[in-house]
Amino acid sequence: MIRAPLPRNLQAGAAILVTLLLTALAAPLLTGADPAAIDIDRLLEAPGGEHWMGTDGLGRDLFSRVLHGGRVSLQVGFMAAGFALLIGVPLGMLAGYFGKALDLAISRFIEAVLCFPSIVLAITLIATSGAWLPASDATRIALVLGATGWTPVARFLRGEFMRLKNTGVVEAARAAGSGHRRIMIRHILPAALAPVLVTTAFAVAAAIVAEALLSFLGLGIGPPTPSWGGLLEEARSHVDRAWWLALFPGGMLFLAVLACNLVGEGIRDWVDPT
Amino acid sequence: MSETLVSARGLVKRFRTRGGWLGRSGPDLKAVDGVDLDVRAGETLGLVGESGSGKSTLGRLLIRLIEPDAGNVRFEDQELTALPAGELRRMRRHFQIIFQDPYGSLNPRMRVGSIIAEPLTIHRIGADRKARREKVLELLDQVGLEASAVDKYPHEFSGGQRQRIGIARAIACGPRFVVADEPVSALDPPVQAQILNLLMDLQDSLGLAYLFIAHDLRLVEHLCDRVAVMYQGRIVEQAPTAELFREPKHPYTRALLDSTPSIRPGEPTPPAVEGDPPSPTAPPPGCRFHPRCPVAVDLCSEKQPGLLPEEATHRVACHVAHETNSRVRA
Repeated sequence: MIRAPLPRNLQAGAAILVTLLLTALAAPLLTGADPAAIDIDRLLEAPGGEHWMGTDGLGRDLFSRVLHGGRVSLQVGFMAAGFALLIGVPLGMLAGYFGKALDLAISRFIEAVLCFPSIVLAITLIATSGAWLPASDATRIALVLGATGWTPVARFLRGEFMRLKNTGVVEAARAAGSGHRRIMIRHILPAALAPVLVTTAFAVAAAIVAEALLSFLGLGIGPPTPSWGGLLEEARSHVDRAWWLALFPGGMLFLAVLACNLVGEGIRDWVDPT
Repeated sequence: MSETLVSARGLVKRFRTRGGWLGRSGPDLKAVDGVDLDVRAGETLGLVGESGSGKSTLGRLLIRLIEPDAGNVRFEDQELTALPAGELRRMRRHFQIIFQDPYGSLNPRMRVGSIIAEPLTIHRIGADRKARREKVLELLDQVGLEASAVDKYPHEFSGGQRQRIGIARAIACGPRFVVADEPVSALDPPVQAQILNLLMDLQDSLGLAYLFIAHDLRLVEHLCDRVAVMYQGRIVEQAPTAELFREPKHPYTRALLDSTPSIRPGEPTPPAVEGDPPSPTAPPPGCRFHPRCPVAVDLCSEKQPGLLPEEATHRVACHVAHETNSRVRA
């Protein structure tokens, strides 16, 4: 259907995102330095020849920590968006397609979740979930962010399904004898997929920021494992002397969020050029 | 005379109108208001009326694509309106629909082969993928499309070809009854003729019964065995085609026949009937047609006429016509 050239913002966003993902994946190959190796002789060294992003308050190589931190941050971001889709897509589909009492119930549930400031809800869940949720820190944080961040996805899909269930395509499918599941999955969901991708891209950006915030507050991935938010938190105590500690992780965070948003907007422009 | 295939009694469908304030709904619109209709096996029954007369709604009620508010529909010896959802779905292979809009009714994201194979998959016709593909190729040939169409998308076809795809899908699972909802009104005249010929050929080879919905009497004259004329949600006259054209009894039918457009190009088509159609949410009392009727008498604004005589082949819902009939017989 759409064979228009890819919009610039999609190209740029995808390029940045792919680069970030590759550097995160290949972190051990790109840097020989152990992100956790302490070197008491070279504390807070400015960017230079050997440590070209400098070192932190314990003499650890910042370049290595930023790359390894990207693995955690991006992993949490994508996983959280995945969980948000896993909850939001089915609920939104069901509410929009069946309407009536089911829609009422699901919509009220969405509103109830929305009533809590999501970051406060996430903090509470993370603080308490360690006891009963047997999962790694990263998975646990992604789960919590997914569980608090699915509402936009659900609301969006509900709207799409309400709109699309009255089209000729759906009527034809019903006339042919299709059941509800077949109509929802084969005839409506594909038409709503491109906008879902857009929402997903924005959800990844939101989750990356949320993870950084949680780590900054000390609720995220604990030390010594680096994440971008955790690195920013560590930079706080040296911010008057060591600008590089805040600049590089902050810059990466900025790039990642920018890339996700560019991809999201790009897909939107691509499928709906108006 | 062949047996009755589809039989509707007392069908009513209301639609909520919007426009009330603060989400309150407006008055109900009776799209179909107490219709009895029989379709016999193998015949073509024309259903004619202006837009808004409820003919498409009636067509969809007959195959329970929408739920009636009152009345029932029988298909052979099954009461469709009483079937649970699952059984209704399984029954759907016996009655299908061809849509007016060849653009909106084909999923743009599916290849033509999958579109036509879908009813086969749903109703588990054909042993496996390969058998179904064979069947799809056969269907494409039957509706006059190239085999190469299988792997193409709907947007690669013209309106007429798309309508052929829709027809192939409709006949895929071997239905006995097909609702053709203005199947050619979105097409250019030469293409219209091709599609109509295709429909007739398929009827001959497959023994289908059609409910052929049209807003143009001219179209049904050569196509249909019988014609029912609809006005404002009710059937006002029903007769074998030749008889209806020779001797229309309802003043509305007469007006429609008189307004049949001239063949000469450039000559404007006269309006079908004087005056505006009544508001569908507040229909006039008595006969729906009486405010526009040239022969209306007092009774027409008081009592709704029935579609009489009950058992005759030519039935009309008009007090004046009933009066004339009984005088002729006396």
